[in-house]
Amino acid sequence: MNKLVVSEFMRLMKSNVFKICLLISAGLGIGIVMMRWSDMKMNADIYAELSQEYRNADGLLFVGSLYMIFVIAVLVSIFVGTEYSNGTIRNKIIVGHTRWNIYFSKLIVCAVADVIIHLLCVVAVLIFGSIFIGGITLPPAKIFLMMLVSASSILALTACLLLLSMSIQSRAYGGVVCLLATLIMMFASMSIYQRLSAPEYYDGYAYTDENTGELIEVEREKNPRYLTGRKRELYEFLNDFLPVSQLYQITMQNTDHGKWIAVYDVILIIATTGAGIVIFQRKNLR
Amino acid sequence: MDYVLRTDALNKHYKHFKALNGLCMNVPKGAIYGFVGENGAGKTTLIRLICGLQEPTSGEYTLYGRKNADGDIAKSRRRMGAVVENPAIYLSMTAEDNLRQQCRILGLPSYDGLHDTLKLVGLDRTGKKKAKNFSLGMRQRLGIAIALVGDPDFLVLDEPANGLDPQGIIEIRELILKLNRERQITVLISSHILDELSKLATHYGFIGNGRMIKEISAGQLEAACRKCVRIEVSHMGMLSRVLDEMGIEYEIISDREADLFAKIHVTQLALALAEHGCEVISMREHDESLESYYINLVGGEGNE
Repeated sequence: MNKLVVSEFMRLMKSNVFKICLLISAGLGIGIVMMRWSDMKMNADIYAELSQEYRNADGLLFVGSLYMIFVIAVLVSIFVGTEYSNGTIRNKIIVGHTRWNIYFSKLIVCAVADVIIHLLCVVAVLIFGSIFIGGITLPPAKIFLMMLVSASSILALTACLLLLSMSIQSRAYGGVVCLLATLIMMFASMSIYQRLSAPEYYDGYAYTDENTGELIEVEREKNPRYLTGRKRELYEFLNDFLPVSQLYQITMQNTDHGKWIAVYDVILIIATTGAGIVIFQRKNLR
Repeated sequence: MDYVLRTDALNKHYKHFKALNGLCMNVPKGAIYGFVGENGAGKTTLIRLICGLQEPTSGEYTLYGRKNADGDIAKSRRRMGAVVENPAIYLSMTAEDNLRQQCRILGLPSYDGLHDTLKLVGLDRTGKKKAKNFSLGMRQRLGIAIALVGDPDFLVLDEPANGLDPQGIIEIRELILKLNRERQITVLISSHILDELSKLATHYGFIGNGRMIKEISAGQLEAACRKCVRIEVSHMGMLSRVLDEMGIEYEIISDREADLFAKIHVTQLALALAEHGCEVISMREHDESLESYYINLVGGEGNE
C-alpha cells in the first residue's frame, strides 16, 4: 500500500485543485481577519465599549472551519472522481493492487490533504490576527486541543465524503452529491445547534400600555419548542456525532465534549470506511 | 503448449443480460491473439474480468497458472499490462509524468528506461505538452506506454485501433509486432477490424453472444481461407480414393463435401469418379477471406 500512498501524494502535490484549495483556505483565513480589522477601524467607538474577546482574534480562530467543509468536499470529489473519469484507477487494479489498498490509500491522502487545508485557514487567522487585531489570548493548550478536535472532525467528514465519491463513478455526479451532502449536513447541524441552544423559558417582562397607561406584566413563559427527555438526548447525541456539528461546536470554542467527539469520529471513520470498501469491492469498474 | 490465459465456462451476467455465456478460450504463450467479435459480443467484458475490474458471475480463468479465485492472483496480474477501452492516463500530466506515476504505482525503484519506452511508442518528443492536448492516437500510444511500464509479459489491448487514422493504425500495428518479436510479449487484442488483425495475429478467437465460436491459429485460418474448389459428391470414400490416385491435395469438410487445393481437370475427375460409381452433385470455386470466414462463423452461430 506504501506504493499507492506515495503515488497518490505525488499526484496531490501536482494537483491544481489542491493548490487552489490551499489558496482559498489561506485567503479565507486572511479575509476573516481583514474583515474584522476593517470593521474595527470603521466602528472604533463601538468596539472600545465591547469586551476584550471582541477586540482580538480568539473568536475568529475556527470560523473558517464551517466554510472549509465545502472546499474539502470539492477536493475529495475531484481527487477521487478524476481517477474514475480518466480511468486511471484501472491501472492500479490491473497491476495487482487490491481494492482495499486502493481505498485506504485514498483515505490517507485525502485525510492529510483536508487537515492541511483546514489548519492552514486556522494558522492564517493566527498569524494575521496577531498582526492586525490584537492577537490571540486563548491559552496555547486550548488552541491545540481545538485543533486536535477539529482535525478529528475533518477526518470523519473526509471518510464520509470518500464513501460517497468512491461509490459514484461519474466525477460530475460525485461532485454534486458531495456538495449537496455537505450542504445538508451544514443545515442539519445549524438546525440541531439552534434547537439545543433555545431557552427553556421566555423571560417575563413588563410594559405600559400607551393608551390606557396600564402597566402590563407578562410572566415568564415556557418555550414550547424546548427539547426535553429522549428527544433532547437524541439532538445532543447528533450534535456530538455529526462531523459538521462538531465543527460548529469548535467554531463556538466549545470543547467540552472533545473526548466523545473523538470517540464518535473513530466510530464514523471505521463505519464509513468499512461500508466504502464493501461497496468498492463489489463495484463493476468500467 | 504453454498458455498465458485460459478461461473455463466463464459467465458474466448484468441482471438478466448474459454478456459472457460459458466462454472458453486459450491464449498461448508468445502469441498475438486476435479476439474477434461484433459490438456487444463480450470482448470488453472478458478483458475487464481478466484485468480484475469485474468479477465473473460463474466459471473461472487461469492467468499464468493461477486461478482467479486464488489469493495470489495479484502476482499474475503484475505480469500484465492493459489498455481497456479508452487509455487510462492522467490528462493533466505530461507523457513522462504519466509514466513516472505508473512507476510509483508499481513501486519501481528508478525511472530508468522511461525515455526508451516513450521512444518506443513515439512520444519521446512531447516535452511539457499535457496529455489532455494529445491527439487520440497519441493518447492510445501513451496508454500502451503506461501498460509497458514494469516490462509486462502479457499485454491486453482492447480495440487499440479505435478512432485512429490510417497512419496511427500502422504505427500501432508495428509497435505490437515489435513488442511481440523483440520482447516476446504475448498480446491479446480485441478488435472488429478484421483486415487489420489479419496482419498481425498468430491466433484467433471468434466470439459471438458471449460464447467462443471458434479458436483457430493463423496457419489454420490461412488454410481455411485458401482458394480451392469445393466439390459435393455422393460417396466420399470413392472421392478420396480417386483424389489420392490423382495426387490432389484435399480436405474433407463433411461426408459429402471436400475442398480440393489444386487446379483440377474437371472432365478427367468427373470421369474417374463415374468409373467408381460416384456421382458429382456440385462443384464450385471457393475463395474465403477472413471477413467472409468470420461472417460465415457468426452467421452460422446466429442461425443455430
